[in-house]
Amino acid sequence: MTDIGQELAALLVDEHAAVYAYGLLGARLAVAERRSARAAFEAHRSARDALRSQLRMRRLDAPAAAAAYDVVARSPVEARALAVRVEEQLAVRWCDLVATTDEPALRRLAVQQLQECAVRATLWRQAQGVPPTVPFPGVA
Amino acid sequence: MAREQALVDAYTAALQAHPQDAPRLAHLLGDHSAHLARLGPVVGASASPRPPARALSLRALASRERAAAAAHGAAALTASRELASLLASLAACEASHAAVL
Repeated sequence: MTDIGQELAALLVDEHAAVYAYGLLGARLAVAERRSARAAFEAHRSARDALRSQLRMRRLDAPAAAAAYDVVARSPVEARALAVRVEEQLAVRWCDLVATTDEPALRRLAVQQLQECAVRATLWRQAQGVPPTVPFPGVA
Repeated sequence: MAREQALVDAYTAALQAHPQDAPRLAHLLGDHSAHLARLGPVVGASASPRPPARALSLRALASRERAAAAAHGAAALTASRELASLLASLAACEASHAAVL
C-alpha cells in the first residue's frame, strides 16, 4: 500500500473508533451535551464515509470497524475526557494527512476535518472547565 | 506573519478594554504569541514598530479569527507539505478561538 493509502487506512481505523466512542459516551451526558455528542457522532460517520470513498477510488481495501474498542466512560467527566482524546488523536491524523498529500481535494478534506476536530475538542475542554484551546491543534 | 501580529495586537488592546474577560483573552493571546514565535523562523520576518491597535468587541475578534482561519486554511491548500501542516494547524486554532469567543 502507498504512503497515502496507509495514511487513509489509519485514519479510517481511527474514525471507526471515534464513531464507536461517541456512541458510548453520549449515554453518559446530560441532554444538552448529548446533542453535541450526537452531532459529533454524525460528523465522524461522514468523515468515515469520505475516507472509505477515497480508498475505494484508489482501489485499496478499507479496514472494517472492530466489534468493540477499549474505551471507558462511566461518568460525564470521563465521557468529556474521552471525547477530547478522540478529537485530539484524530486532529493529529488529519494534520499528518495534510503533510502527506499534494492532492488538492484530499488536502482540502484534511484541512477541514482538522478544523472540525479542533473545534470539537475545544468545546469539550471548555465543558470540562479546563483551558479550552491549544496553540497547534494536530501537531503532536 | 502579519495576520498573526495583527491578532496579537488586537488581543493586547482587547485585554485593556475588556478586563472582565482577561483570563480568557490572555489564554487566546498566548496561542497567537506561540504562532508568531513558530512562524518567525519559517518566514524569516521580524516585528516592526506598529501603532496601538483599536480595541475590538469580542464579536469583532471572533470575526477576525474566522477570517484568519479561512485565510490560513486556504494557504494550506497550496503550500509546501511542511508549511501546509503548520498553516492548517493555525487555521484549526483560530477556528477554535472563534468558537469560544
